[in-house]
Amino acid sequence: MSSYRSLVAFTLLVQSALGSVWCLGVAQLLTGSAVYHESHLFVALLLVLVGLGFSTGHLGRPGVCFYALRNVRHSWLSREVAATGVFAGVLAVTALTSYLSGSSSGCLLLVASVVGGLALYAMTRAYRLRTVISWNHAGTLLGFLGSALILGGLQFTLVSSVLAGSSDSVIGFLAALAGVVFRVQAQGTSRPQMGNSGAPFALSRLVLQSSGLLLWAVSLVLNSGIGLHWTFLSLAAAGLVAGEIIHRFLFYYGYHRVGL
Amino acid sequence: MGNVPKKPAFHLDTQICTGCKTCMVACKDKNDLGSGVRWRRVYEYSGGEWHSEPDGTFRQDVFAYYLSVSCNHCAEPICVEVCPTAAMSQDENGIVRVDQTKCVGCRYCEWACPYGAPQYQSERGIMSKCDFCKDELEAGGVPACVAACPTRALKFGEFEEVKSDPTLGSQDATAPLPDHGLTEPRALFKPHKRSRPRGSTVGYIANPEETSDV
Repeated sequence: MSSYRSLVAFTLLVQSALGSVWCLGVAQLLTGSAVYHESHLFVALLLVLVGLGFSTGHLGRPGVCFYALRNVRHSWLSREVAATGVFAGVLAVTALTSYLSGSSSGCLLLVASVVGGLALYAMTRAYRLRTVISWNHAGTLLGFLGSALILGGLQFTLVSSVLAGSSDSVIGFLAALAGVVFRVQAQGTSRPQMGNSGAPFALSRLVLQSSGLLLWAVSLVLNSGIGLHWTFLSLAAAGLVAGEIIHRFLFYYGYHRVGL
Repeated sequence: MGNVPKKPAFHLDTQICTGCKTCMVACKDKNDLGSGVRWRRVYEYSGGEWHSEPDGTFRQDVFAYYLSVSCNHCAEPICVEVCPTAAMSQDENGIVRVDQTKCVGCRYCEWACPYGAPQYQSERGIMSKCDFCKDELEAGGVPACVAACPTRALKFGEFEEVKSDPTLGSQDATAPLPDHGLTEPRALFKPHKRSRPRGSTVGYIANPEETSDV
């Protein structure tokens, strides 16, 4: 269990992609058509594919990683891999359709959102092992949802800002705030992880993410001042991403199983 | 073919187990296991402290006992349930085996098993585990660990028979064994006279470097 890096990367990248797709769906519902629809989808697809690539990094035999699809009938880990693969496929179809037709398909976006949600659920169930008391609680799902909304909101805002200087960033910020609410809820259902040894890391995560949200809020206010807006948004992104990475490492290092 | 029990089960008398680890060594030798791979592990569970008495004297309640544990070939094996490749399976005798040609080395079974039975072979990138020395059973012999036990604390038999004998203990009679309801292990442990009950946290595993790969 020495290396969790590939799993941290896999889970965060897929969750970020999913959150951004959800934000895109909301933006489309509210505005009729989100700016640069296909760009959001291509970025999300890229992150999912990179995440899947990272996921093979923790395998002893990555060359035969596709064997992990053999037990979809019984294993949540197998279902997680399958659902993430399907999510990537649906994203690819949605992005290509949008790119080729020049218009967005709300129906395909809805399918992508639902399939992504199923992938997140399978991911959660894969960790909710009845013998692992540090993960087998509602906090795992709430924590993953929190990450999806925080990182997804950030990704959506960054892509919108880079490609269109769009005001869609409010949607991303609200998603991130919702993510923080889930994270707080998760805290209430989780068992203490790592004892006191994890406390400094948990504190630094809290400081980084609180600062990130504050800076993000400031960047929204400064939306008209391009240079300053980007400075604050970049700092906010750095704080939030660093906080999420710390949070996920704490999750894995907090692994605690019953028995021997 | 020997007389293989329909559902073989180990049973250990912790009262007479001295923690000599001959079973561990015999298992490693028989299966040619490399460094850090332990299909059978002997846990030393100990604890206790000194207490001052009102008359100025001191008394102690220290304890230590040993649990020799391998795969328990559970009736509800969580390793089989969670394995994404179906490399983990249970044969007609209830023996849980790993098909190493299917294993991708994700180590998910290692996360899930409350007995630490699946062991990672880093040089091959796959999992491995106790197979109850089925080759020996089929040849009419006994598992290497059982054959090697110098005090005869470790034995095996037909699960239904050993389970019906109350003198042989139970599946989770003693700490730090987990609740048997999690996986329904086919193994029995007769408690030591100083055994702490399951769930007790007054003791600790005193030899982690001998039982895990951390």
